[in-house]
Amino acid sequence: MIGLMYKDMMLATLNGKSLLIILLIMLIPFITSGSTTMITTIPMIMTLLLTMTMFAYDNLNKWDRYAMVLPLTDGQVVASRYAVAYGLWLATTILGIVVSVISQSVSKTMETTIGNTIWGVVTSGLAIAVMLAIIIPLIYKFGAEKGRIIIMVIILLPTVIIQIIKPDVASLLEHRMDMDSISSILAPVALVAIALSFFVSVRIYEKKDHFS
Amino acid sequence: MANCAEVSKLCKRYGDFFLEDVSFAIPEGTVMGLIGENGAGKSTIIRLMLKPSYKDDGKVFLFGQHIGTSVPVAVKDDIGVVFDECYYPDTCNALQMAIIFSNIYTKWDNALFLRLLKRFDVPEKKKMKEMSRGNKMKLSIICAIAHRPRLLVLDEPTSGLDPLVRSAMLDLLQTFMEDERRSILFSSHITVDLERIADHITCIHNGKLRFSEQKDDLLNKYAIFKGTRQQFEQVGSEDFINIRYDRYGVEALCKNKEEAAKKYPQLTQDKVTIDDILSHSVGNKSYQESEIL
Repeated sequence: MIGLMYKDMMLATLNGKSLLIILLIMLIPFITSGSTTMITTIPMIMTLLLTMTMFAYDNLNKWDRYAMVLPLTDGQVVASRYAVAYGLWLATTILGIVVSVISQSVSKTMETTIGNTIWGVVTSGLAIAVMLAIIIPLIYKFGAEKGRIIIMVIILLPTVIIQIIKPDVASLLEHRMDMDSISSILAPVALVAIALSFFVSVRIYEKKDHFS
Repeated sequence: MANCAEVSKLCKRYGDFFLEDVSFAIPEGTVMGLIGENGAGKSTIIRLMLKPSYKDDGKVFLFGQHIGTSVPVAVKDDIGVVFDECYYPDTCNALQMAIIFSNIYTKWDNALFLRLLKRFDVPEKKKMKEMSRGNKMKLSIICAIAHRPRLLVLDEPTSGLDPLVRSAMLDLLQTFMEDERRSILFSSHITVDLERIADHITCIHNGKLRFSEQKDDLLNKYAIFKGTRQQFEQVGSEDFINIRYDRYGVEALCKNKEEAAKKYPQLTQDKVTIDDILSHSVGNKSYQESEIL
């Protein structure tokens, strides 16, 4: 399983370095201006793009045909993918926290406290964990090509909903208790979602004919 | 002699293709050549052996063990597989592939891997996407051998390769077979390769088993008989597997050359090749060229 994780890390970081540099360059104006919106979306963009990269490369090389003959169970093959995807999620969430703290320190125009900003990143990170849990089985089922469309829908859907209900984000950030309650709900939801997602992905992978 | 692998009455339907009741065994220490035209079902058999849950019916045995729906990890650890294409990530090089496999196979032998890379001139640090098809296939076989498997499964690894690379690959397989406990299942329609290294030949045609015999028996028992149309007017078609007529005369494949030679002394006997047996067994049945052209 470690061998597969090594391969996935290699594939994910193939474009990861350039992606990271581009994002850091893009972030400079947001760090100096103290815009929390962009900072909290870093984990989302990074994790989803890197996860998609892994699936896209496997699809390109028809790797799953070969993975079938390796001395690993289907569960182990899927588990290695989840381990790398959520490892990247953790890394990018921590990156989001670090960047938000730097931003808070550099900028003098921030409207909220450092604590609230970190809490915001953690909350969006948990939301992304749930998104990943939804996306991965769908990519296993429909493949990386169709998966891109699914991701677009999943990313755009909350944006559309937010646009419809138009919540007051600034006041939400000010009310720490509200963010606390969102996170406390999201944390167990994310855990259950990951567990369910893994189970579903293994079932899909087991039944899939990789040669068809 | 124990069987390294065995399939019994294997069945699988893919659209209008039907693999029907295919049975054969690969004795330990031997090379089994799997022949047949494109689309005959060779790759399907290999897939069903490696992933028995795909089969509709039949049984698969590996190292004497009946395999249910999935091949146990310990059994897979003893099998090396090479497909007709290299499915390794094209951004990886040979050394990175070794890191991946050394963390997957329990018996991965990195020293052997490096020795084989050098012996067969496979670049260590060149990315897969920059390698020639020949080098990719050599690397695939080296990786399949470097974890010291007991069974090597090759699904048309030599197709599309030039004779020099094919020869190097066959050398590699002969090196592998120096240990007599090992076996190879080698699917190919390049029968010259099989003539060089196979001990047994299994022929598949349209999803059905045509024959599964020892190569030497095939080459000793079978023969090509040639003669004029007049000479062939006196022969019984039941004595031959297939009869072909062309503008120069008639050619027929027979299964029992000694009997046929006694019965038809007027015909000329030629040594048979696996290619002759394959083309007569699965090619167009008895026909006259004038009927086609």
